Amino acid sequence: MSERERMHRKDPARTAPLRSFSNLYRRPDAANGRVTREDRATYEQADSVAGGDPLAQGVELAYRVIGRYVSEGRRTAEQFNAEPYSLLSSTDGVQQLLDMMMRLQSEMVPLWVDTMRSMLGADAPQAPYAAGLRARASTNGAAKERSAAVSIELISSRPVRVSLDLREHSETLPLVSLGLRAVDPDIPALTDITFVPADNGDGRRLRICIPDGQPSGVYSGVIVNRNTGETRGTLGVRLD
Amino acid sequence: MSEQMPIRVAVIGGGCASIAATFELTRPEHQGKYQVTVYQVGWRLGGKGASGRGPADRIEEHGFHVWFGFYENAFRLMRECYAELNRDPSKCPIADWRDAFFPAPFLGVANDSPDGSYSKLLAYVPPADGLPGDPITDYQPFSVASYFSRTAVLLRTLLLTAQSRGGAGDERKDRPGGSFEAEPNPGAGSAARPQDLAEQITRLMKYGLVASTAGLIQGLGLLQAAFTRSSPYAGETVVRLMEAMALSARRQLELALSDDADLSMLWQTVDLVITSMLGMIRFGLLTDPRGFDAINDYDFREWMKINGASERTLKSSLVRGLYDLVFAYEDGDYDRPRHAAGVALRGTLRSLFVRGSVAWKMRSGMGDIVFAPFYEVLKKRGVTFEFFHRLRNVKLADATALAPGERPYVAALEFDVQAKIKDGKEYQPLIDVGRVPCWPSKPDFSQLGGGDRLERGKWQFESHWDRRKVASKSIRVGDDFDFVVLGIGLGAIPEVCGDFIQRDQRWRDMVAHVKTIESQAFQVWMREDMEALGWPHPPISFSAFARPFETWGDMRHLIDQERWKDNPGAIAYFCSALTSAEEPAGYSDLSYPRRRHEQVRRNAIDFLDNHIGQLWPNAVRHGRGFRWELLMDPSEKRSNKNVGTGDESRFDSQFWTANVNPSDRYVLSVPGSPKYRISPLDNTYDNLTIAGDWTSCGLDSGCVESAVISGRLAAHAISSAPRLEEIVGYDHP
Repeated sequence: MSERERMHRKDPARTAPLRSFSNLYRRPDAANGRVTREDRATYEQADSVAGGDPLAQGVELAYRVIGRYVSEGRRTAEQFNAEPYSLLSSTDGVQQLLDMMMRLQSEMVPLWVDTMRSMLGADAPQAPYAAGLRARASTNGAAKERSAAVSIELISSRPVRVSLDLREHSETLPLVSLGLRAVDPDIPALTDITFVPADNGDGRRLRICIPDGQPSGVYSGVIVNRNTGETRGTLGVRLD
Repeated sequence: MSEQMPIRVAVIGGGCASIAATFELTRPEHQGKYQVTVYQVGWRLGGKGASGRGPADRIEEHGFHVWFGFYENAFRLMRECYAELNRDPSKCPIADWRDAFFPAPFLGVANDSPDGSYSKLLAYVPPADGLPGDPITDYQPFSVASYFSRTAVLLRTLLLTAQSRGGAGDERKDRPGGSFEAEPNPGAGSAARPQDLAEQITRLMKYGLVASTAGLIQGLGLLQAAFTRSSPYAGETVVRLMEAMALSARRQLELALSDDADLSMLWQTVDLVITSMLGMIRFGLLTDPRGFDAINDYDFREWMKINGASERTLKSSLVRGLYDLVFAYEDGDYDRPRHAAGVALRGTLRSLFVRGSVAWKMRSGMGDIVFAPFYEVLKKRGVTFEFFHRLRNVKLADATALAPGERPYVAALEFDVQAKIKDGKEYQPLIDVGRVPCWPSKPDFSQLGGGDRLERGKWQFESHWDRRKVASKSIRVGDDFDFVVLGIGLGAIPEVCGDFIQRDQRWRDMVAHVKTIESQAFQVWMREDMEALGWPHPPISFSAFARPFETWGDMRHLIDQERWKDNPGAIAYFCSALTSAEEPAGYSDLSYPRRRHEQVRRNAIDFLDNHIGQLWPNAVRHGRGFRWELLMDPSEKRSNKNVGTGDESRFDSQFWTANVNPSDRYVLSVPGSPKYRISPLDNTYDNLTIAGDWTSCGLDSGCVESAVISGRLAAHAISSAPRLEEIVGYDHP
């Protein structure tokens, strides 16, 4: 075989791990393990509610986060009573300690959920948690509000990969990027990033301009609402 | 080329990453699409995990290896390998993976005192559900929710353990919970005496103090995070107040526990866990698209300190043991402990997800347990192994000859052929020891052309400094291979990848910033058993002990696997980083490996003479001075009465190694360096992928699991399989 017939590798879908938090709550892969009956029921319900609607998916994601945590907490709590530690029944001190741990656990859950809420945005529900989740999910999922799209205009002389993660309803807001930075503080930031109205007037266009001399690497940063300063999403650029 | 023609893959190196890639590319599901040839320097596979059988068929390793219970990818492939191998248990005693690996739940660390003495802190880690490599049934095990949940369980286990220590006397030995055990407690077992009851009550109070303080600090931390996020400016005063409260609580607790070694250890563990979780929230790691990589510019201790861990915790043997575990000392210098915080945190959290046992030991040498089975399976699948091939150069295609838009690619691979096999046959690398296929410590010269001459000339096929060869070979893209998996160690890259380093800034950065170090190890075979030597405890994996050999593995389980005239009573392995030489060894410095080998011998003798008595009091005379007559020479019988008291020259009959070959160097994750790693998925070079624990593979630390993940990624880069979602833990924050 001659060298001209050399084989080529396919371009990979990605070249780095998905480190983002939201990815942790994606559906487990069938090839990666069995799905429990409880989980399957959750998926089926979520599927029927969420469909392909981004808003409903976002709400479902938030519910999965919180629901799963509550479920884990409950499971942990059950273990307190289920495991046959002989010392537990015989020592008052330990029983008191377990009570304290249970209180700690119960206090941690609301704190944790509050923290999660601030991270995920206002769509995630507040405590009380488990009982109210399904109803709110259905309500929000039924809204079926379609968000406008964000298109991307890229000006670069080199290959670039872009990942954009925006919260729902952000497309109509006055968005601004605070610049994308590499981990190495000595590398100059990417600053020529602007949001402009899309040509067809529907949604926004994200314009990213990469200077010719920009070092290769991964750059990341947040996108905020210019008026309120609120974080609305993240933007990542990998420059080969 | 027709579509039916197999795609030829040249795999360079035979370590964990290369073998994992080969195993993936030759899975039956590919239906023979990939035809793989493995090129290996010398006579055996294994890389840093290679082992061999020496005199008396004793096992000789590069170091002390255990597999942790979170090595999901490594165990999964290993189990599949044994299943496919389908050994007959009546013909081979190591037929199944459960024969090959067994739980090693006893761990220990040494706690040093200002006077130079050490106390021992031993732990039995109870079994966890499932087995490593089982299908993952959790919704998503590597989630923050799971981490918090597991942390709560861990804290509970630790606290219950402390309680049992305070009130249960010797019952703890049979209890299923985890345990920390300091030096033997004189009062244990006599719980009925009033003074003991008072001690127990005091201890219970301290125990409650630990629990309360843990809860307080955790609660304060979470509140801080909530305040900071909801009102970054207005809450500043409150946040500072909470920080002060947490600091005060830590100090008071440490004061209260200062006279109780194992409760102090308990608190330090709790402190580490809580601080890690709070730091994750405070640094916004849960939403940062870089995940834990966002804190990789910090050293782990530095980051923990920022998040409130106490000085005592940061100086504890627990933290020191973490650094020891990964040889995290730049240039092997103990005064420069450096471990990237994100990598350390990821590894620590992954260790919360052990299955079956916290650690697993191998029933035989790592070569016999891991690489011989893989070799046999891969041979059956049609893989070709070209032993005695030393890679000299990876030649890139001339940049000026590339078509517009064409990516650079590997045009040729150039090898030194170290030996040819007689009559053009295939080299048969394995030997039989007790019906187990094993690797020998030396090549079988009788299979080599001119073997007598090579043996008389003492050809050192694995030595980087022995450049003798019988021929040169160049294989070319298109003619001989289509794709390349470069699976050699990072230390060897500068020498064989000159084209890459010359043309590519990223490769220059990688070899400049991703550090490697030399390591050292020694093994001793002793006449008396561990109890007689003064170690009454179960077989242990022990770390944070005296330098320069701070890590010890009790390997008594290997006695029956070797073939001594009279069996030894005990076998012990030691390993550590090896402090770098003053001057880098040039390629022409032929005596360098010999000098380093001698340095390790000297280190080992000094260590045995001066330190081992603190672990094995009966192995020394008058507190120090090793009893050299304990050491067994393979050429002697155990009952030999002529040994006398012996002297240190008896150590020469033992095994020690200075792992100084560039490809054997251990890769570090020093702060600021992980970002310079290159992924096996990187497609800058059209027909090349890299594999090894030195690549950007998710875990980014020097271990078997990193290497296996990297190998699976390399296979994905070529064949799109396995899917990235199947690589357990790759997509981790």
